Amino acid sequence: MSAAAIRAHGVALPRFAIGRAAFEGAAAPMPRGIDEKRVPGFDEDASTLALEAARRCLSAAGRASAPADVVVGTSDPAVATWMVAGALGGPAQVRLVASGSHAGLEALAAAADAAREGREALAVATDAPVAAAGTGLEAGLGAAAVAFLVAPGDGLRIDDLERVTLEGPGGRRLGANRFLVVSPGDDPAPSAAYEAARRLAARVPDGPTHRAPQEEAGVASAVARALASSRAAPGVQAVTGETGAASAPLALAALLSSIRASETVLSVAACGPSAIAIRATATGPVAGPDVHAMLKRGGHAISRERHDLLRRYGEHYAPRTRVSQGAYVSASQYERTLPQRLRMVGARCEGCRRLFFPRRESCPECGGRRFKEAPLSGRGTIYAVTEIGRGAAPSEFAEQQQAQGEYPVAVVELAEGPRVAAQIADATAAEVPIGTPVRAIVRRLYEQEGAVRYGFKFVPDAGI
Amino acid sequence: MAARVAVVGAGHSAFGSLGKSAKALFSEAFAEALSSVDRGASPEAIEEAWIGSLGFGGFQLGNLAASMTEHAPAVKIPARRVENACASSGFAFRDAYLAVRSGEVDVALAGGVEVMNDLSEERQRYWLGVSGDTEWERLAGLTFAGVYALMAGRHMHEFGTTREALAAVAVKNHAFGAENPKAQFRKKITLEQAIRSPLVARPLSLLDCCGTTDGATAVILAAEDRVREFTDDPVWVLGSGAATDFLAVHDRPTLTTLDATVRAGRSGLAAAGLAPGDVDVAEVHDCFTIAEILATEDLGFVEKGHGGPAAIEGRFGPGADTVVNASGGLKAKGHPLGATGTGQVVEVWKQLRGAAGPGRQVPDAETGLTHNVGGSGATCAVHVFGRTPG
Repeated sequence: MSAAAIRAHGVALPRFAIGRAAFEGAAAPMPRGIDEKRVPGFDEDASTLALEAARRCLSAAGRASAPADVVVGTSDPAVATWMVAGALGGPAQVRLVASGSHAGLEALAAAADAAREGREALAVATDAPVAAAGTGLEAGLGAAAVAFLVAPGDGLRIDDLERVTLEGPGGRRLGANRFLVVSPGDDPAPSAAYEAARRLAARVPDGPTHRAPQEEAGVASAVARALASSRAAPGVQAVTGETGAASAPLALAALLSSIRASETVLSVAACGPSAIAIRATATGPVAGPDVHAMLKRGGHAISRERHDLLRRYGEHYAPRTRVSQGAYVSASQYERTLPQRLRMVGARCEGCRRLFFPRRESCPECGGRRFKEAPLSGRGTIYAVTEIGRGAAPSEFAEQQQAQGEYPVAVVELAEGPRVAAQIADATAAEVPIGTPVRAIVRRLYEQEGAVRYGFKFVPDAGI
Repeated sequence: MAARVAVVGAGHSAFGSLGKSAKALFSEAFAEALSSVDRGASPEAIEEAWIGSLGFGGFQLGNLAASMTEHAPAVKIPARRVENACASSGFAFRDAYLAVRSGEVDVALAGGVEVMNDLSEERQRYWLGVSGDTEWERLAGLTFAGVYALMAGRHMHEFGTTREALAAVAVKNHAFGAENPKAQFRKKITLEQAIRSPLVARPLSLLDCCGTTDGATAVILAAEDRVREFTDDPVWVLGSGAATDFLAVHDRPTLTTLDATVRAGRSGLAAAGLAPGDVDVAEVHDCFTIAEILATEDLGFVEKGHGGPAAIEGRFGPGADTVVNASGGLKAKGHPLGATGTGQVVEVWKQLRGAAGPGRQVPDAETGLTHNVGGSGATCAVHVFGRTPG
């Protein structure tokens, strides 16, 4: 069996951010230790963040396609693995580990197992947790996704692993919509984390050089006691907020730009009575961004009112009926267009070779009816752009507009030639004039009859 | 040999937010059409009906035409709904014209009806933007205004068209609308007001956009050998042109020309044996101010790219060689989607008979043109009218 190592990583953070000052006078302030947090946009969720982190990781690794083994670790069982699989394209098979804040490291462990058998694997930790409105916990919940490409060879080599499950009930679990306190007693997570860290550290002569623990539920301080001689990785939670299953992986990713050859790190995550600790050694470079530099750039500040609308609660939030009764796209019709919506697959006429996007039933040039799939790069430039104000949004986007204000829509001229209409995300119309390079990403479009519809939007292509 | 066809009567309800049902409005327009006939006409004279409507709000999606003729009253005559979004009644008129021209029908009714204002704001929002490509324009976040805004932005980028040019169109049309007792908006506006109105979809502001309107219109067409029964002052249909284009604007080679207008205009004028410069009075499809600028270019009234400066110079206003939208256009008169096309015919019919009213009558109007577009240009019907059969 070969050694398994992290060879590349990718990180996706929501663009919006809110500081603790915005919570002054609120029912509950941001918890101590958190100064700022990232807030998913109306069209973002744990699934879109996971996909973006995965794509960035693959891009950093110079991979054109995802490996067959993709494991998503999250505390949110509603993460849309079908969307991530559809967007990554074959051969990716996406497996979901949805157990709690330790699921991110569990996904990494699963990827390491595959790599030891000689296969490349992608581990993606993602969470965008939400708790009850007005609680201190909810005030501190952020969002992030981290992806690791694990493969045989050198990088951050995964050496050893320890799992602990303490006896007895109790502890907390971050759920998709509501935070559940299982018992009012002490949360066993710190104890479980302590135990896992201690046992794993005991198996090597010197303690690890660094520790990169989950920064919530008291795990970080418990691990500090267990690994007193190790160096703490500089925290990230102070500026991201609590990120559930992405917390420990984010701490690990943040260490990658400063860890030196042959140094070791212990990463620990715990949720309720369960903990997992992973020991790794730096044996080679790991491709990917400088996470601390990313965080230093800061997010786009939003107000409390906007924050509450994005979380879909608060005095200004009024849920609106989203299902159009004037224009209806059936579920099966939506599914038929997933290659276009998620992967920008175009169609080339077999008769005259003309390229189309999204797709056609017949060729308007030569009348041909046979087309070959033509995957497009997703890159393009702005050909025409407008900003949709209140009166001009279709019902499917009324809530998004209420929460996030005016949105730009453009006709994008794809690099390969065809043009398509699409929303521009993460930018105002003024920031994307005609000629601006853009690239396709996947975001939530709207919900219909309880099902989320995902599809492409474009963001300015200033490099990752 | 194909029969020549004339318009012998025309009726037009008030346009606005009227608090009346579609049945009531259509019945009004029908009654006015009959009573407008110089020698009088009874409902029994009408043989067949073509009624344009989008069916906004969904109140009667099936068998709307039967419902309208029943209450007109014109019960028992063959009738059908014609739908091409905002060009519905323009195409209803074309279909009626073709039927009369073929000799199969001697006296036909072409009309349209739309009620848009009896819905909640939320429900109205569902129904706006149904005329673009549902999957690839609507779900990109675009309705009507957004699509035309994209076209306006490109026109500004390619030709330097300014917001002042757009505003000039709105000012002209509201000035005409003030003279039209049927118009939805009866107040003049200034350039300043137009430019400062709130943005709807950049660069289009509120006063660049037509409103939501209720209304109905009805026009009576007769074959050449029956015209005398009705009037000595018919308005002849000299030509009909129609075309279709890619539905989604991003599938078209350019956003700054409506190819459907170009083709429909060319074939309509060619059938009439006329050139754009021969047109004295034109009702064009100004759902947005940019749409009028595009129309003046695409119909050949002005060179491509010069529509903006022409609007600023007042080249299509009172006293011009070709007066555009003397009725107030869709902008000021209103745009009850399915009723607009035949509403344009009503105006041209009045203008060519010298009966448009003192504030907006185009002096010595001999040749008229109507230009009706569906959605952002997927469909277009153009008709050319004259005082002699040609």
